[in-house]
Amino acid sequence: MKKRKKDNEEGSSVSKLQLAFEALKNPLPKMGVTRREPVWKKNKAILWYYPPEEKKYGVPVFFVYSLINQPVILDLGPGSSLIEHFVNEGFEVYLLDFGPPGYEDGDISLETYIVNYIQTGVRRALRHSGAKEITIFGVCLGGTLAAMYASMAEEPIKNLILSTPPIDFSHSPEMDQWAEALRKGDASFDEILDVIQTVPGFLVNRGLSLLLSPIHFSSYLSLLTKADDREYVAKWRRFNKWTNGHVPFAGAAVKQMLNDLVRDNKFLKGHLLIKNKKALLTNIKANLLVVAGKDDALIPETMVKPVMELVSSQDKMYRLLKGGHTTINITPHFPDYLAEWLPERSAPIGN
Amino acid sequence: METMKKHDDYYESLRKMGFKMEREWNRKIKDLLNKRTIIKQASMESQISAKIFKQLQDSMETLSALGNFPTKRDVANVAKMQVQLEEKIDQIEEMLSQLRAGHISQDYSDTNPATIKRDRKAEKRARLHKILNSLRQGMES
Repeated sequence: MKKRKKDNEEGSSVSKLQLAFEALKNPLPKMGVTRREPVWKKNKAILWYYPPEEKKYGVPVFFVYSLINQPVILDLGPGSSLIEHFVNEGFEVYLLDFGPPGYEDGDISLETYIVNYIQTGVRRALRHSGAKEITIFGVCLGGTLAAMYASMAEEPIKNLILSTPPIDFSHSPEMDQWAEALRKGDASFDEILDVIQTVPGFLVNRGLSLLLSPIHFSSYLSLLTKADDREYVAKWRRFNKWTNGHVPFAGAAVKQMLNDLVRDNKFLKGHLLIKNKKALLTNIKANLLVVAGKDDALIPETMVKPVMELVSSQDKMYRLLKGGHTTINITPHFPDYLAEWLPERSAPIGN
Repeated sequence: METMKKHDDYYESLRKMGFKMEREWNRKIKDLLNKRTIIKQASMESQISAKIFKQLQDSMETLSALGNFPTKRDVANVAKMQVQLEEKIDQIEEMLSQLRAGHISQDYSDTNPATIKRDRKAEKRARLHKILNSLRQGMES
């Protein structure tokens, strides 16, 4: 009797292990499933349009995502897609996917991304939708780019939403000695960046791993624990695919980030020039919503919150949400922090 | 039922233990790497590597001139020219769009096909329309 019980236990644990292995071997569940169409293409960048079934708001939403990851995280899968939630709420959504830069794009700096891609993309989106104003939604490094763009924009930005944007680089959450060495001029990586032109995706991945978690196996234990939960497994696999799918980073953009942001903290200090125009945070007058994650190890609150004191927006709100860097926007429904803030500021149709 | 719960507890404990170990090891590795000497070494080695890579690339450029084959830089130059072209098309499209918007706001009724023959301005507008549409089709393809 005792032996049979032991066999059962072993059998069950093997089956969970088997399920986990099978989950890893099975075809990847679909990602990026919300219906969309391209509006504009430039180089490797594509401006995507996600039409709502029924348009309920006059102000469309324009997403600016980070340069180092794929924006598919915003449309991860059915039921866990931020873009899908926006579309279901009746918003017109535009997403600027910068695409993976190649060797030939090594001279694309942050300011080139802002002026030639984001600004032009926003103009295109405004023209395409026929809207008079727009909401800019920047996520992660895309939030920094969105804030930089908003600080020199001529386009009518009604709302600016920044989700976990690194703005104040005087605080380094991890590897503070590296940032300090850059600040004091003890280290420079300009030469190697000039030669290789773009940092390959796998190096971006390794670099971020070193910064956050050099050894990483805990997520596999989470998978093992819930290997019998199909929904969890599908979500895990999508998320895992995205986590390892870093895109190359243009050399000039990395240089500008290391030198102008990490070393000199120019944007926060008001010294950053974008196409010879000063990108001042005080120029931001749009309604502003800034969010940070309580458990965000990559971009902690100290790197985000200082922006609130420097903008000129009359209508501004800061939220510290429960969750990590990415998970605050992966919810089974339209995130509460957005539902409470955005609709009334987006010209509801019929009101 | 009890056996299943036991298993769940076992996996949960394993997960928690794994998380704890991972955090501890990572902290140690990061502390080890977060040192000035390592940073200086990494910076110096990257500069030495950059010089070697640069020399290699320049040698390939020289060889390409003799061997008459294109290098990555040549391909990059062609790609950059294509982006320049895209930017010019973007500018033209932007201008046409503004012109079109201006004309439409002046007098929309002038675009009526019945009056086009008599109205030279309307003819110009129709041509602009055509160019804009063909540009759009070109961009979409």
